[in-house]
Amino acid sequence: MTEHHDIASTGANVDRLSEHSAKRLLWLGGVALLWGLTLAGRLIYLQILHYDEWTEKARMQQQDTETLMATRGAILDRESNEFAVSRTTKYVVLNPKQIADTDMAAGMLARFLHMDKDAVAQMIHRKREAASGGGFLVLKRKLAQEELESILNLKKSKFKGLALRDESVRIYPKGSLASHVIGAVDHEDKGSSGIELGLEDELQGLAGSRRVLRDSIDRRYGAKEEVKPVHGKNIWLTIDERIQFTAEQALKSAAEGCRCKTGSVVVMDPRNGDILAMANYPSFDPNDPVRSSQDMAARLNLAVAAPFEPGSVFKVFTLSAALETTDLGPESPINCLNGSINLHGRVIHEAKRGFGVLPMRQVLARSSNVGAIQVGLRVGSNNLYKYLAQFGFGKRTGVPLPSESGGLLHEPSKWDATSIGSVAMGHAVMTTTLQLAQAGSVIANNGYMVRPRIVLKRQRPGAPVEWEPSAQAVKVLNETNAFKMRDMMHDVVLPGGTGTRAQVAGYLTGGKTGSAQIYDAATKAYTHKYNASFLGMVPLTNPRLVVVVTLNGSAEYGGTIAAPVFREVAAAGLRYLEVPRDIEPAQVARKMPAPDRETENDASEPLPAGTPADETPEKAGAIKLATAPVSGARAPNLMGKTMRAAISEATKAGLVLEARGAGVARSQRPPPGKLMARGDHIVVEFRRRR
Amino acid sequence: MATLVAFLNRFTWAGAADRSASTVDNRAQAATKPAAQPFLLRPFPGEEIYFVPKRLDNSRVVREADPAAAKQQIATFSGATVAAFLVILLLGLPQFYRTMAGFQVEKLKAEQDKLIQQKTELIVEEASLTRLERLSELAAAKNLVEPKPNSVVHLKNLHRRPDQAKKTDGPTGVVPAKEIAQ
Repeated sequence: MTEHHDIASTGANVDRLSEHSAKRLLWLGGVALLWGLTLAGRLIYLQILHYDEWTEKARMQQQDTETLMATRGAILDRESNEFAVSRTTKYVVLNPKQIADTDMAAGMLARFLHMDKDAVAQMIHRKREAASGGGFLVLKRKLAQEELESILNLKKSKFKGLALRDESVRIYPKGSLASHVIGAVDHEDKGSSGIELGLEDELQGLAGSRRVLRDSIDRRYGAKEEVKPVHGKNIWLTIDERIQFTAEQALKSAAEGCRCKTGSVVVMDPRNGDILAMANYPSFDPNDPVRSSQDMAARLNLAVAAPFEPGSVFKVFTLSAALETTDLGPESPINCLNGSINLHGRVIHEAKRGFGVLPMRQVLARSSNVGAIQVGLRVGSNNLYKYLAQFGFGKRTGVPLPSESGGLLHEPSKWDATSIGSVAMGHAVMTTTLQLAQAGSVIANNGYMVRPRIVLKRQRPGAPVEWEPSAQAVKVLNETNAFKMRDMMHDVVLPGGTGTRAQVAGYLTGGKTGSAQIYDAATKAYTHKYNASFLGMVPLTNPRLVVVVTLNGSAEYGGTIAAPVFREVAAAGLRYLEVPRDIEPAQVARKMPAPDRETENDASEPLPAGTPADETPEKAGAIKLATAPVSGARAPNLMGKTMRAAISEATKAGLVLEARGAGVARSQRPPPGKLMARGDHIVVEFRRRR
Repeated sequence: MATLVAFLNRFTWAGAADRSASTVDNRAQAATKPAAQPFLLRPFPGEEIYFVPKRLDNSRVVREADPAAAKQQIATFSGATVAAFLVILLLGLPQFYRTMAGFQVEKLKAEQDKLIQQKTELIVEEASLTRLERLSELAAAKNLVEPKPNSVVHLKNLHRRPDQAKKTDGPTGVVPAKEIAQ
């Protein structure tokens, strides 16, 4: 019975339990179903109904599009010394709308950024109330490391509305050196002058971008859709830092010494047109911002942008045209009419005392105005204009420097009856210092003109080097006439000439002084201030440097103040370029017939104190370039000779033979007969007979 | 308890009152005589079978301990868990590694940027220190003077071969057209 009862009782319990379990299961199932439905509903809400909105929010939180800055190309000299370099730095911006407490925010930011609290508060306030509706406020640019770290800490402490952006800073580590050539950039990192402006497209590059993935604590862990930046090209200039420095120092010293307002120096390699130095006075530091109009004026590259009346320097080109177009030669007598000439009613005088009949070489050496006019009249307007145009006057040289002037050279049809007189002695024409250097290079380069070249090569990071090609040389003068002209220019620096201060010890030097009176537009008259200039080349046997010096607003002549600058720059340049001397130091110059110093039109002053004794012309032996190529030789004709015979002959002539190939000599450079200095290299190509 | 078929018929059969054996018979006949009741569905197989629940008391039944089965269950469960973990790991590992590599790459990129910055700063510093103006001042302070022109002998220039020319010399100078013609 008991057992039966137990069984019955147990069965009832089981029933109750089953019923209870079923209910619980039902509840559980119901809750699970409800949870599932809720979840599904929420998923539908998030993933389908508001998909775009939440995707965008997630993207904003996890991804960030950042700009990959393109580094602006560096500017270097020919020896890879940095003139301009770009560095990436940060600037801090603020969204004023996200600032709750302006005073507190301004206080913190001012402390960390070393700014004035009131100024910061005012900036925030002004930006917030701006008509444009606010936007970002640039608080400070070019952050220092300490400031940057402070801002990063502020950001980490959830300071809202603060952001850091990349920016490029242009640095000119050499300061004012070659500043007119290099130029500067504006606040947007775009070129505003010089090469920075002239080659802006190549220097600036193209920015890239990428989407950065961030985790919950703002750490980056990947990037996608990356567009790589295209960095700007590095530009190597033809400038030589050492020659540039010497030119700037010498120019500054001379300009300050003679109280000149402005001045410029151009040093050029006549063989390939490379501009080795281009200096201007006054100068500026491109690291400094422009503060006044005076700053702007100082930034003008006078050597290419400021044409002037060249004066007597121009006689070189008048006489060159005469050698080409007339039967006049260096020894041809020119009647200088004792100091004055009447040209269709206009009387033109010598600057000082007049001359009688002079050989043409002395017309140049003594800078006779009347002599130059007489020669110009022999050449004629059309021929003179034709040759001056071929020398490059009246048109831009084409260097990539902004604001280049083409100078002024009117066509003969616009000349009046007396213009030929003015033009022959360097008036009624205007030229830049660079144009003078280009024209001088024609004479130095045996009559062939090469365009000036300021860019040596360029290279985009990771890409091959792009060499700047030299322009094809154009023949302007007969080689013989170029040689005669160099010989005549040598006379200028000899005792009795107007440019004795230009003589470089150890080298045959040639040049021409110029002292053009400055025309005052206000008073419509010529003043007693001069454009003092000197155009020179050295060594004359095989010119490596053409140097043009101009000093504007001086009371002194070109031979007095510009020639010493030439000598200093040329001597340093020859030393830096390791150009062998072409004369012994004792043989400095050839004596000319003793002149009366007072009769010089371009003053010939005593040599400066401190000149080494062995450099003084008076102690030097006489050298005549035209008749005796001192310590040099003419290139022998090696064509058809075997290598052994060629070497023997070159050695006899004191030359170093560079043999290429094997067999018999088929070509040589320089050609036979060219005047060479001892120790010069002669390149001979040998090929076997076919 | 009815079979599944009978359960389904509740929804397909019109009227619970009609649910009887005769109806089933009728429907069976209808299967053979579709013309008489064309709309009557043919019965499912086993539709007439019914199960009657019988209550059994197994409360006193005691499960016999089976250690081998328990072990097997544990082993199966553990194996399944490990397998599941491995599958998840294998599927997730590349993504994990990618993410970690991403952190590493970004860290290295940041370091590279920093090194580039440092290099640039050093270049700028070197260029500033080697400014000729500064060197001139230093030389003047030490009473150094430039050598006189007569004191300079250019040995290097005399013996320099063309292949030893400086790389920065660039293309050779322009050779006049006359010389090219030769």
